[in-house]
Amino acid sequence: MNEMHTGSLVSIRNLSKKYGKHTALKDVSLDIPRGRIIGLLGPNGSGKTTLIKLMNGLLTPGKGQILIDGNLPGVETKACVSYLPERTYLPPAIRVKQLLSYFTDFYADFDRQKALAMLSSLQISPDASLKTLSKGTKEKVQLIMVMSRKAQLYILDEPIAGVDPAARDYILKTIIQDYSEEASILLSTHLISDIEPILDDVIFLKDGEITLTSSVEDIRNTYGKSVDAYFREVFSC
Amino acid sequence: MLNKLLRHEWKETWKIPALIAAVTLALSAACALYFYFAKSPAPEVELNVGNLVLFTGYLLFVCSIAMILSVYLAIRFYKNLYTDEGYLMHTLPVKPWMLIFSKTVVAAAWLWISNLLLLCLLMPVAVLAIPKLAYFEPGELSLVYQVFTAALGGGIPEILFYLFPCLIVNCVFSALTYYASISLGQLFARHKVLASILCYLGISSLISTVTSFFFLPGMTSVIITRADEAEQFFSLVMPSFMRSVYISSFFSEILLSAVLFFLSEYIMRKCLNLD
Repeated sequence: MNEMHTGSLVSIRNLSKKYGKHTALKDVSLDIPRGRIIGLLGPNGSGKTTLIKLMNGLLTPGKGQILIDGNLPGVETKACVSYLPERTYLPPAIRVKQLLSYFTDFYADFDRQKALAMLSSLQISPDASLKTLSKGTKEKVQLIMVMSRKAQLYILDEPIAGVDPAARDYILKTIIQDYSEEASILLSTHLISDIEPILDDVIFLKDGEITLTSSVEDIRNTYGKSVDAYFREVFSC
Repeated sequence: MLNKLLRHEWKETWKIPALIAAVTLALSAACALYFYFAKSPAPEVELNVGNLVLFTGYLLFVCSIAMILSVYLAIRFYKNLYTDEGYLMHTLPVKPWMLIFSKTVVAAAWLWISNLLLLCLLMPVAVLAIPKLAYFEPGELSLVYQVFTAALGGGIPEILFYLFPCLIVNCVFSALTYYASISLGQLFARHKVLASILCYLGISSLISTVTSFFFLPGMTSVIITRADEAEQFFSLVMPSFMRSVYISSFFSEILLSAVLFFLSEYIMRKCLNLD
């Protein structure tokens, strides 16, 4: 077990990442406690997806370290992190029921019954092939798979960007219900007003640097504004 | 976890190779039937051009189908691990070597089945087709078959050695060559597919050059020193030479496969950068 900030689920220290000459993340240090819903907010190109991909071991850091529950990204962290990418990442030829078997086989914390119940409530047939589903429905299937795990950390990259407003409520309800008090959710989005009611904390990222980490309550008390309004003020062009 | 990876990989891969095998089987059956019923050329006919074109076309078609399988397996590896699907595969709680190992086992199994099928189908089709291509004097055909068995090492034990350990190792080596090339291609910032193809050409050329460097002197020496045994060339000299080629290839391909496996694993573990 590596040394980490006491009580933190995630501890990031001096993390940097470059793509060629472009610096995507600059010396980022961050702690994510347990039992919180955290919004990772920032304009396009601020480094949100890069940070998320680094946490999931999909990118190799240039410098610095990420510890999740005391482990570097690897087999142990992948077993306890449930990740929803911002893109459709499931094989198109696969059927929903095959996907259920896949998640059941590989993730010990996957709750098949919960996934089936959520599919049923969204009227998605387990026999449906993913290639026959609309983009929005595919995103719902992905979210159902991810949220049906009893993970310690859920990392959701733009979970509501591609779905209709009616489905957003269902998704947000899905995100906040049934997750363990010990688990945390890191949620990246542009649609701040939609997710603001469920957030505990926010992290503002700009040009690869963290400009603010605060609780939602503190922002409201200190600046007398909603997170959405404060975000617009900070990142106004 | 490895068992689960192998099971899922097999389930997701089998359709295209099975289709390729079915097409090869159907085409070979059609060709075998045609050549079985085709008239043998009369003694004054030196060459039946129509049959020759048909047989050559059949050979080219089945060989290109086998190449399609290799391309399919390489594309599947690339798509499954280095494009959007990689977001799922690389977030499974498994080690990178398990991903490569499961894909190598399944790809090598299909390459081996395909090669074996090709060999098993080509032989009877060739046996039926060759006498219909031209007029052969009695005894000439047996020489053709002798060349073929000589190329496989000469006898039943040698052929079994070629078909099982040797061909299996060769299939593993082929799969790992594709995978290592694709993994090397991912180290480039842009044009990763083109870089992978160039890496494959580079690795293949390097291995061919090194192999020729080791085998050509041996072959030349066999031909020079045993030139006086011309009448026994196909019964003794060539089988003996081919046996030594298979044994050397067997060990060198095991060694190279290990190098390519660790190279792919190192890149996936230390240098993964999914777009």
